[in-house]
Amino acid sequence: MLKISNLHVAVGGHEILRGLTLHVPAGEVHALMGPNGSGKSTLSFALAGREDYQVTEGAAAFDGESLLGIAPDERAARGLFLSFQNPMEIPGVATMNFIRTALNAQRKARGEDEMSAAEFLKRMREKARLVGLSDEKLKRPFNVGFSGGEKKRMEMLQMALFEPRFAIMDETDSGLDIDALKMVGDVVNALRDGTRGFLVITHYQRLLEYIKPDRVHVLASGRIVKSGGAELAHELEKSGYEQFIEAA
Amino acid sequence: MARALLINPTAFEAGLLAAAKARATSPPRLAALEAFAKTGLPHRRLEAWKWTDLRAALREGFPPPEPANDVIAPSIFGGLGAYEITVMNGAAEWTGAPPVGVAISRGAPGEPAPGAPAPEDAGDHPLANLVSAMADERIEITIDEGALIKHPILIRRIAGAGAFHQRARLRIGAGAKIVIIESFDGLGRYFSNSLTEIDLGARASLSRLVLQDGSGEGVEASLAAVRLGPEAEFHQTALLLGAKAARIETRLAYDGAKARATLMSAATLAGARHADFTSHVAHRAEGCLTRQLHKTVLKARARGVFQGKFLVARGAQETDARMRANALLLSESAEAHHKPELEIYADHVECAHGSTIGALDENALFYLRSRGLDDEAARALLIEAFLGEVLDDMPHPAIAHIFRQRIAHWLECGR
Repeated sequence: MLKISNLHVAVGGHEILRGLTLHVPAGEVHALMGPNGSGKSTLSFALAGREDYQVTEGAAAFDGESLLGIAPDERAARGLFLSFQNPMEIPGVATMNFIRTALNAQRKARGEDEMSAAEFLKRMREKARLVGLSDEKLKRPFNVGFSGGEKKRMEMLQMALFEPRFAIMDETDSGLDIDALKMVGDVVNALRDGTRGFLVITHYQRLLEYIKPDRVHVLASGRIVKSGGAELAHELEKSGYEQFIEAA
Repeated sequence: MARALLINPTAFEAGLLAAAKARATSPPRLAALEAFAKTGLPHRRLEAWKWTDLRAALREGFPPPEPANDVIAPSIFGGLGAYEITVMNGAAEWTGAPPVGVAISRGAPGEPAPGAPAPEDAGDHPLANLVSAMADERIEITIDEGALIKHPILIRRIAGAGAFHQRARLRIGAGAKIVIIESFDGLGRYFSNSLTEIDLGARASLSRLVLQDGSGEGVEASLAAVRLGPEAEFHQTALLLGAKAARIETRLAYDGAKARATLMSAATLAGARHADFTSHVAHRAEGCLTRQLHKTVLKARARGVFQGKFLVARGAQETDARMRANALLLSESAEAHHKPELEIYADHVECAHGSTIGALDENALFYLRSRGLDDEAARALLIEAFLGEVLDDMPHPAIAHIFRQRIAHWLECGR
């Protein structure tokens, strides 16, 4: 599903990813863990197509087709979703209008019919209940005045609504309380139907209590330095990243 | 005599002076002519006009005015049920009886108006002097005390080839409430110069909506001089599309305590268009409140100017006045010039101003694109959001909708 081979990514002339190789097959959840500055967010931005994250070497393919050189909106239409670590506040942008426009832009690009206003509203309310966002929050400009946790809920709302084929979740757990962590787990688990893939980027093991990963990878100094099963996350929780930083 | 005061007038200025001299049949008109002759057209060496050089913009002059075209396209405000006064090439026409509580007449242009800005507020305004010297008539609109006028009055100014000077005076009686729309439109090369004097009585309420939508070769200047009585309310929203040179200026003075004014404006400019929004608010009564927001979006080689000043007089305690101006540059060749100013002589006041000039937020742009919006749609959404703040609290949703449609058209077509 997502195949990354020897990926090198530079930001502002500095190489951050230095030969990252990762394969997430359809139906699997992989966790990516690593110390600060190891390149986790760089990977998520590069995969989502941020222009100032330059791929200088290597390949990244989604469903057998290269992602490189593809515009971010085309990646979204192909079913790639990034849950941002620090979601934007966008004053003046009406939340419902934006999400509906985005959803229909994706559907249009895939050759699907637009979703009617009534159907959209129904689904939006259903998903808002699932992630714990009130109607009042949906009426505000996008994320304006939201707490950090509420912004993460808004990310999860979009993920639940867009039903992406592959989701990259960049530290979705940071700043979330226990109830919210469970909600994130519920959203992911509801989408786990054997055809979708997930890359869950996190510092801690606690989110993985709710989302059981098939594989856990450790990223240090821009490459994967160790991979293993779910038990690797427990090991990291005990021993930390120091050994990997030294090894890298 | 008057001509001799202006050193090296342009050919166009010399023509204006000669025409004004022929009209100087009364002492007020002669005084206005003499005042104009001292400065001529405003130019970049005058501080208040340093970014809007009308003398240069009008250097080439104009062919003589052509007869008005009888066929005028309907106004975009047509669906509001507004009572329309059309000012075609400086000549005002209206038909049918105005709404109950409203009187409209033609007045002599020259004499000082009771609603005119006080000398210390208006300074020696070259264009106000020019209007006083040149306008052949003045539209007098009077709203009865306590009248609540349901439908707006639309003053639609349209200019063809030539130079036009037009004056209107609006007196709103105590406790009355009305919406006035002023639109400025034109075709080809022209100079449209207008002065609107507005006097709000105690507790009167006026919403003034301004749409400046000139041609790329036209020069448009509008000065509104507004005086607010005690507890009066003035809400103004202006949308400027620019012209070869356009200046929409509002000079507002509080004459009574506890009055309030909201000045909202947006300029969306493309090509080589120029628009200048200038305002001067004189707080000279206690407990008055001003809120001001100006937003500019500039494409290509467009030039946007914002000059805003709050002057708080010694006795104007408990003044509460805030001003903000934000500009968005969509091109490296575009220019935004901001000059926010506070001049405060009272010690118990709350005044603030802020100004930013920048590009679209790349992080926000990427966020929207990562959700599926293409580059064009994402940019349009952010620009509309940026401008939206100006229109969000407009008291008239139907007019806000018209402004939004005009902005959407501009985003799509650059015009």
